[in-house]
Parts: sequence; structure tokens; C-alpha cells
Amino acid sequence: MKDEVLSQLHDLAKAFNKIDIKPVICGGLGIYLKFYSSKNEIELRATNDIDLMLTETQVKSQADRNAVLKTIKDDLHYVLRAQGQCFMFEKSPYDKLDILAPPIQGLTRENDNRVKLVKSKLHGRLTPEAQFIEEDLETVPLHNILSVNCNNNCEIQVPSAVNLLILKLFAFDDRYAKKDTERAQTHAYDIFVIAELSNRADYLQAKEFILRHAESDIIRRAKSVVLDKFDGIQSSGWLSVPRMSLAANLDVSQRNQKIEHAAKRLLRWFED
Amino acid sequence: MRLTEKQVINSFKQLYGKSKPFRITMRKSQVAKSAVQVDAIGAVELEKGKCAEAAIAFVTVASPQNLLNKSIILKQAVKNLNKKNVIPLIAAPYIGDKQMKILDETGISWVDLCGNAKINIAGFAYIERLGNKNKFPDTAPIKKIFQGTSSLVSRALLLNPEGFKSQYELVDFINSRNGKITVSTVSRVLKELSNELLAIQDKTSIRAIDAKSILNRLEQNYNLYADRQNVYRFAIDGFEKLFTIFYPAAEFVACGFYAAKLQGLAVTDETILCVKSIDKFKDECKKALVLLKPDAEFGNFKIIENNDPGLWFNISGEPIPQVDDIELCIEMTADKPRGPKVAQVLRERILKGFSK
Repeated sequence: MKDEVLSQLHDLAKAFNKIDIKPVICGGLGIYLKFYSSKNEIELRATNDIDLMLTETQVKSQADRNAVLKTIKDDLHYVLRAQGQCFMFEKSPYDKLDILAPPIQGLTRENDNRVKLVKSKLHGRLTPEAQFIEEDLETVPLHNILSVNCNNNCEIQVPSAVNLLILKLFAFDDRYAKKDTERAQTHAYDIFVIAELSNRADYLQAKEFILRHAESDIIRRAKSVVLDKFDGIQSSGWLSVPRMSLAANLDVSQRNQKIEHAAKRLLRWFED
Repeated sequence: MRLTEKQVINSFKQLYGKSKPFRITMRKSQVAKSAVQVDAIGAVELEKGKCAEAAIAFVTVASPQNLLNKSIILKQAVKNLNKKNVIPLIAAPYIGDKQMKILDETGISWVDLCGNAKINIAGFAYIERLGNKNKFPDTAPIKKIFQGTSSLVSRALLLNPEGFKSQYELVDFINSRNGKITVSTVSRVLKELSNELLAIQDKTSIRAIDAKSILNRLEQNYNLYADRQNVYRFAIDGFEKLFTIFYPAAEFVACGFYAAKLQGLAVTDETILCVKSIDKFKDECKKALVLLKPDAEFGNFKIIENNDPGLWFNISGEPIPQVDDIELCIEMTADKPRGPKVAQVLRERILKGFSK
């Protein structure tokens, strides 16, 4: 992962920790942080931006939301990337921050793709599949990960493996439907990483989670994406994983074996 | 099959008789009595007009010890010829890196039958090191001494930098550590190690003289996957009981990244154990009411059925029996991509005892 992104993450964590928020990091960086200890087993994807998920608990009151806005704009000096899109911030073209939010009662409007946290100033990109994001969040102290000088108490949070997987399954499905091949490949690779690097504890936690929410639309759709697009190595999802990114020193059959292993693991999460 | 001397000579004539940028023509194949160790006299011509007479010795097996002996004798023979502008030249099927170093140190020119050469004429060195691979692997030193039971000799020498007083002491040492080896095997392996200039046996002791290379050869000859065909994954409830069931009998041993984790050198979620027999392991678990659930995808307990003598020889650690630094270093070297970094730490630790 690029030092610039990690340094940006450190600043973000430090500023948010001051207002008693452990920022919840999703996307490629979230996967990197979740599986950091296994980073040498599979190449983890580098990313240029930070996907910050603001959870319902973090932005419950107007005062909370104002504090978040102040932190992003005044303390961290982010500015909007484009007028009217109040969930995309940047400090430079290489220093980007995207705000995501699950559906939040009272703030989410129907037929709108954003959660308006502070009118005309701070929105979150509506992420319905993050409905259960606060369950099983994992706290990650940054001093183990960052090479920059880091306050020992600096902490962020990452979603559980199953929540990261659900976000990626939905993202893949959307991009695949829109024929956005490049981004679909990126999400397919992330799904491969999650399937391969999750350990038994992640798996058991996922089984409980899926059972708990078996009747929800989120789990139903996630399951149908897995069964339709990730059922066996010849399915569209696994075919979208760029084979060259798996490991340069593997031959075709070894790469396919890896994919097959990941496919079997993924199916186990959703089998009844 | 190894090449005979006749085959080496014929290939040599074919390869270098007309080649450019240098040419070697054999003039005499019989040499005067004063130089019985010289197999032939020839002429070497480099393209840049440099030429010399060459006293040539043909070598069929280019072990380091063999080359060292030949070099000393050849150099003396050239001196005895008492002629100016004669260079000593060794021709062998293949000259490896270690052999090249020996010949460099003794000032001997050389050519091999794989297209590699180094010719020194009156202070002018012509080098043709193409990095060609050995086309005659049968002429390479025997590898088997670093595998299976034979490898126990090298492993024992690494465990004991001070060395052993006799072959019997070495045999007893190996057999006291779950090994099973005979004096004749030890003797054969030691001969090979001496030929390779890796170990020495003199009147007072048997000891490693190039511990780094011994460890390196053990690593090179270790095949992580071939030796470990039978890998099982289980989810095990109450696994702590396992350690009280088996210990202290050496029927299981922590290995791989799990052993590295026990030493604080790596992180892993898996428990990796080697067992001599999977059936016995299952029986013992059953008796102790330890529930084994086979789980090929998410089993965090990896059980490897492995009867490699090296593994069961290099055991240490309490309360959990685990592979020692030597076996772990060998395993980690092969376990890419994460392992080699751990192996580097262990290598330094192992070789520390030999630095005196």
C-alpha cells in the first residue's frame, strides 16, 4: 500500500479519534487493513482513496454530524471534488476521501442515492448493503501497520469479513451489469482475497451473521450473486478475477487451483 | 550415466577444436614420464593473438575435493615440465560456482563441456562464463546425501559445531535423536562431504568446515510438497488435550508457520502438526474424546503425515514438541512467499555457533 494513503489514513484516524470516533474504513484499504497480517500470502490491491463509512451510531445527532463535517473540512482540510457531490472529497488528486453511509432513519430519502448528513455540505453515498455494518466491527490499532510516526492510541475500525464480502458482492454485481469490466475485475479480485484470507473465526462469524439475517433482502441478494456468478471456476465472477494478479510465479493450473479453492470456501459461507 | 574419460576427451576436441573466440588443439596425447599427471599437451589460441601451450588434465567427476587435488598435482606437473609459456588447464563436463572458485584460487585455467571457460595467458584472462546449465547432471556430486536418512549426518554436524570424536560417536548421537543410521551410511556420507569440502574428518575430529553450504544444500534438496503428500485439515474442539495425550512420545511435532509462531517469528491462525501416522492420530483423538471434524476449506488444524527422518531428528521444545531451528529453517526456505524471511533469522542463529 502506498505510504501516502497510509499517511492520509493516520491523519484521518487521529482527527476522528479526537471526536471519539473510530473511522470505519471500507473498500480496498479496508480489506488491506483487515487482512494485513496475511498480506504476504496474497498480493493485496493498492488503492489511492479512502472509503469512509459513517455509521448510524457515529452520526446519530446533528451535533455529531456537524463535528464530523468540521473534522473533515476544517481539521483535515478536505474540499469537495465537485460541486453538488457532497460525498466526494479531496486534498489533492492523489488524496481522495469518499463518504459512504448505510440507510439512516430520518436522513435517507426514497429515490435518492445519498444520505444527507449536513445539508449541502456533507452527504454519504447511500450503501443499502451496509445495513448491518456495525455488527462485528473490528478495531485495528494503526501503530502495527504504519511506518509513519503514529500515536499509539490511534485506532480505526474495519467491517467484519462477511460485511466486506457483501459490499464487494454488490459492487461486483452492479459493475458487471453495467459492463464496467475494469471495475468488475477489481471487485472480483477483492472477493477472491476475502475468500482466501478469511480464517476459521471469520467463517464461523459469517455463518452466524448470515443465519441471523437470513430473511433480509441483503443476504438474499448476496447469496444469489454468489450462486449465480461465483458458483465454480467457470462462472462469470471467477472468470473476472485477473489471473495474472494471483501470483506471478504460478502456472495456469496452479492459478486455477487457487480460484477453485476460493470458490469452494465462498460457497461454504452461504450453504444452508 | 557418467561420462568416461574418452567421452570427455572426444567432446572436448569437438567443442574447442574449431571454436571461436578461442581454440585449443591437442598436439600430444601421450606425455613424458616427468609429467604423468598431464593427460595431453595442446595449444591455446585466443583471438587477440595471445597463445600458449597448455598442459591439460581431463576430469570426469568435478567434485571440489577432486578438483583441488588435480589442481595441485597439475600445477606441480607444469612446473616439472620446466618450459616457459605453458599453462595448466583442466577440462571437465561441468564447472560449478564452487569449483570455479577453487580453480581461480589455484590459478588453473579451465573449460567445461557446457560452454563455460576461463583461460589465463600471461596475465591476460579470457572468461566465457555463460551461466550455461550442467548438461551432464550425472557428473554432479551426489545429491542424495542431503535427503532422507543420509541427511542426518549433515544435520548432526550442524547441531554440533565442535564436531564428533569418531564416526561411532556420530552414529550414537543420531540414533539417540529418533534417527536410525548405520556406520557404513555415515562413512559414505562423510566421504562425499569431504569431497565437497563441506566437512573434514581428521585424527582428532569430524566436523563441518562449511556450515553455510551444508545448510544451503539441505535447503536445496528439501521438497516441501513431495514429502508432504498427505495433508489433512480438521476443525478440532478441545485441541489442548492433544498435547497431554501425546507428549512426551515423539508422535507429533509442531512445524511450519505454527512452529515459527511458537518461537515468536511469525503469525498464523493455523495449528500445523506433523504426525507419523494419521490413523494413529485419529485413534488417539477418539480415545481422548477430542472431536475431529474434517474441513478441507476452513479447518484450522493442518495435520501432515510425514515420515521424513530429518523432521523427527530435528525436534526440540517444551511443552509442545516442535521442529528445531535447522528443520524450521529448511521448511521456511521452501514455504514461499512468507517463509524465506523467517528462514533468514533462523539461518543466522544456526550459523552463529560456527563463526568462531
